[in-house]
Amino acid sequence: MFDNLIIGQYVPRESVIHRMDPRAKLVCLFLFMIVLFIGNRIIALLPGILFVAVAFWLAQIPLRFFAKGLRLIVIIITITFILHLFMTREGNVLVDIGWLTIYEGALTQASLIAVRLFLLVILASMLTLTTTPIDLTDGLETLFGPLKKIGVPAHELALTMSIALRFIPTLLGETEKIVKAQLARGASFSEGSLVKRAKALIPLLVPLLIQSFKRAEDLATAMEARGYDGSSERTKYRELTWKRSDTFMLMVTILTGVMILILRG
Amino acid sequence: MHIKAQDLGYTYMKNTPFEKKALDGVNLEIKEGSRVAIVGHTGSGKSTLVQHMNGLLIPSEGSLTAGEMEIRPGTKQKTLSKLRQRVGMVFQFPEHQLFDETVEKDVAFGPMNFGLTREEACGRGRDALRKVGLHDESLYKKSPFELSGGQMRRVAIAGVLASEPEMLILDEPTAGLDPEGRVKMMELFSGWQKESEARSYVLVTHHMEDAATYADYIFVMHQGTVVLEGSPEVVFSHEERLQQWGLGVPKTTKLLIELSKKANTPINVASFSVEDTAKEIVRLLKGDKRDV
Repeated sequence: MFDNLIIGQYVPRESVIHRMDPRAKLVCLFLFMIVLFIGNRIIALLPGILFVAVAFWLAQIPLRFFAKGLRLIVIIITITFILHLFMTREGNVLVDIGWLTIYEGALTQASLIAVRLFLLVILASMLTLTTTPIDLTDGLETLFGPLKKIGVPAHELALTMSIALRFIPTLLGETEKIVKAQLARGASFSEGSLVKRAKALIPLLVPLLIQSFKRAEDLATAMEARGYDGSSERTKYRELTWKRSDTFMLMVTILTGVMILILRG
Repeated sequence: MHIKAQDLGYTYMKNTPFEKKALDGVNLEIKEGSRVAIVGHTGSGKSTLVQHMNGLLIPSEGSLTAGEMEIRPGTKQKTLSKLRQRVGMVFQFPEHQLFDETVEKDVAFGPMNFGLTREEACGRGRDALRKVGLHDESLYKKSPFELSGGQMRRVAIAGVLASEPEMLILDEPTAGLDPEGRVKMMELFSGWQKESEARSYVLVTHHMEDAATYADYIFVMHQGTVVLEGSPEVVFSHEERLQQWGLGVPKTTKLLIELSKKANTPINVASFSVEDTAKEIVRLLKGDKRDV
């Protein structure tokens, strides 16, 4: 039922990208994100496209599986593209047929936004596809560590995130089970008008919410019973190690960024 | 309802890196009015198999025929509503499916989906609630979430029975119940089945005792296929093979097998109730060596 969802999924592989330090991956992603929005011409984004393509090739994630998972995102990006195309009024008129006018500026603007979003989504989903949730939160926690001094609860934030990530599959499993139970009682989730379909979700959402609250309470009780207090001096069994290859990857990202900066108009 | 699976295969998450074959070449036949159990170790594919019987899953290969309806790869979900009315399904922890404001409304959800008016559905719902042993009418107007765990499970089961199916699929309906609760629950289904000749159920279970007591025919599943089938007497005479598949035999059978070995006399080990077992032991003690 949710066979094609790739959000929060981890695909185990033995690739260079998988072996990267999560901190390096996070920093690279962050840098790339900023640089993408600095690049203001399609030509300037070319190094970015190359960067993402190479990273994807290195990560060894099956293309068909990935493409299927991106279907929804592609639809959203297409809608953004179309909206931009019709709403922007800049530069020369390209097409003019009665009610429809497309400006030159609109075309470049729309494709720029679409390419940026697309690259961003690919790289961001590659982060979760190649990093285990625990590595991801460990990375985040150490990156946010310095902010503890000014009162940012870095550990608690990381913990909240890892719990949220941890329960995505559980929640999906639960949803599938309840969907099946209601289907077996004759419910239908894919027929009728929009209002009818929205109403059909009630028998799914109510049990799901109730289950989630119960689970949250159980989890809190279990953690308290074990005296969990992560904010005090906690030592870790698994420690992150920054390798030379991580520095190399970071350099490559910076280089890509510089190229985008040079190419921007 | 007559059920027949032919070379049935099912693959979870097809065409993804998580692809997993859950069923492979399953052939089975279930006659109308029968009580069937499906046993197997965790992950043997028993739940996947039974979810084909009311069209929740569509086969990846082969076909499944339920009554006049044939389901093969590519059959559309929309055409299966009729089948779901005739085949009810009780999941593990059925109380998780409750959602409506009152017990009465929740139970009426199924019948109303299958096209009954509110009054008719409520009428059937009340019948079903009484059938599962909830006679106190003040409960019917309460929220299902105010009830105790046991009551919630009964309400959920009433919600399935209210659609008046011909066949019930019971996917470990007694999970998490104490021994007394388990017997009561199974007696409820057994009583329901006896009410009409056309009624049948398929019980998925880990408990060999339940399978022996509440089924006339047992299918044993292992790694996605049916590896053994037959009456409880036949199936539980293969103790060694069952153990290879991570399964056992009912405790009574186990006792008789051990006794038989110690006393070096053949015993009829196919007695599954405590009374029959006691009788067998008495016969052994009396030295009655008549053929078994």
